[in-house]
Amino acid sequence: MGGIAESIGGRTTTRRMTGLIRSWRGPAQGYWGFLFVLPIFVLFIAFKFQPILRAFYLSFTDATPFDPSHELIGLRNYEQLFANRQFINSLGVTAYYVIGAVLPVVVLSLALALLLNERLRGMRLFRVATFFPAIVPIIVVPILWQFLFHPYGLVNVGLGALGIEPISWLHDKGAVIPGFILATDWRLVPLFSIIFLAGLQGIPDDLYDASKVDGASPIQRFRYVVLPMLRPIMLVVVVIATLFCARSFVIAFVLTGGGPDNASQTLSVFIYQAAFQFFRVGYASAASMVLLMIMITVTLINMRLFRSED
Amino acid sequence: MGRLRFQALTRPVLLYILLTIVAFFLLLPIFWMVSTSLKTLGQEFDLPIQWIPSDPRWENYVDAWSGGLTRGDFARYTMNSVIVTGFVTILNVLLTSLAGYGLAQYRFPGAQLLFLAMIATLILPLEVIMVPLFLTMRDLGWIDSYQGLIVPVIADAFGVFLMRQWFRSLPRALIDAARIDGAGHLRVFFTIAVPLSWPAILTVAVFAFRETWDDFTWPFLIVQSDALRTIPLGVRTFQQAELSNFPQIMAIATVASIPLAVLYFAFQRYVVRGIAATGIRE
Repeated sequence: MGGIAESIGGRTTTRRMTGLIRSWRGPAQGYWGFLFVLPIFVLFIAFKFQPILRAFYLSFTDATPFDPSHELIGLRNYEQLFANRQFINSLGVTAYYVIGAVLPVVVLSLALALLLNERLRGMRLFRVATFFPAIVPIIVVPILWQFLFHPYGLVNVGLGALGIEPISWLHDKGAVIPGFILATDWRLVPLFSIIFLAGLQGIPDDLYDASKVDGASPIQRFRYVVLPMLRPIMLVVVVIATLFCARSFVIAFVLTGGGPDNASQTLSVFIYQAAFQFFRVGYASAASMVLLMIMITVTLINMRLFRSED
Repeated sequence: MGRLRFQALTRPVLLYILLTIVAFFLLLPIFWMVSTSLKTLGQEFDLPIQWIPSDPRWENYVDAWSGGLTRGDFARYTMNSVIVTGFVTILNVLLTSLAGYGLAQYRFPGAQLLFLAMIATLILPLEVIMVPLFLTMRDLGWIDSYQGLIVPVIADAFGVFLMRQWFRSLPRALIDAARIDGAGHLRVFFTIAVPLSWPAILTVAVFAFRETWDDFTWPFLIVQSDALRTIPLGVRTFQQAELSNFPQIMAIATVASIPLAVLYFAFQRYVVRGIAATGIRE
């Protein structure tokens, strides 16, 4: 186990000791290591850490984008936020969208990866073909799906062929989030199947062979060999997909702008509108802090889930 | 016996059928986009669907690209995208590999902390900091400028993470030997470490290129004048100007999709490796 998980978890004592000894090999060395990191770290301070702190501070003020002077107003932004039905609605919309999109992404991208992992002639062609939605520019995704979801668009034509009444995807409060989920998963499933495929190819052949010798059926093999081996990757996929959907701005903003009647107003669209359309920077910052808390919570829960397995 | 025959004959056939169905549905929206881009306005919803228009209207591409006052200047947008993505990619690769090297090959107090602080930003989306970052740009006077499009985007933890992983696997003896020979620290980096690291560098470069080229939200927030629009902003503006001229909107969407498709085919291995690396923790 290495990578992000290990880095966050820290190392064993022995390695810490060798680390200490190494740092005594000469002061000039450590100094240079720091210099190597410094340029990008300055950028991180200026454009990542500083803005977080600033958002935190602004969330307690009544700032606007134009007027540099502002007053501290305590928790009033947060109080207003949680009393605002539109904000509570955007939390619900985001949760619905995230859960509705992420579960199918995990199942379908794993299924696609299993298919693409088969040893068949011409598999390369299928791998390339199924990857295409993932290289469509992100701005094209909502524009294309707006067209697909048109009352006479391809989705309704397809439903019509199955004898289903046309759906007003982008104007029906009940249909708009399922529509988002369809568009999102169309793009994400090919992307995440690549991650699963890499994981499947990392499973040693001996494990397959051993399970074959033991007479395991394909289903048993999947259940007892493949799934446990993929567990860490699956949780990474859950985290990345959740973060992607929870922050998703482009799809909601371009496809509907939050409508109809705020039925698709995700948290990031709410933040954007509060800051750049209603010019309430402090208020928007408080909403940003809520989004950040959600991000952190989701990540911690997932990290816990897979650490308990190690 | 029956099972063996199933394995040998039926299974591949079933798999091919399944794969074809999946690929068909995933590609269908893209077929429709390209097919519509060649139709005449007013024909795009005709039934039965003409997948290959009998009389393809290639002029849609010419008309869409040549734009006009409200529809934009795509040659200009392309140049902006090239400038912004070029600078971001080069600077990102340079600075992340320097940092990755510093973190992997040196020990200094606080190294772990610096690394963790950077890695933690992986879960920090632009949407959380867009408001204060916008204000920071205002303070610097960088709103509606190339600096504003480029500089805040360079710092990316994924590159640092990947380069650090790579440089940790470089044989220490090699680096030490060069240093004993009296080569300076930067010299060792550029003449020994970098030439051994092209796979990792290309992976990071392709990843940074993709992310920057494709980004909509940040340019959307800070670009105000038409002269600074990148391709994604141009596509959005075009769509808003044309509303339901679907053939031309799909033509511009198709054109806008070409660069990333070319990148994918040219650097397939690195595109896939970069995506796979986001999931692998080894």
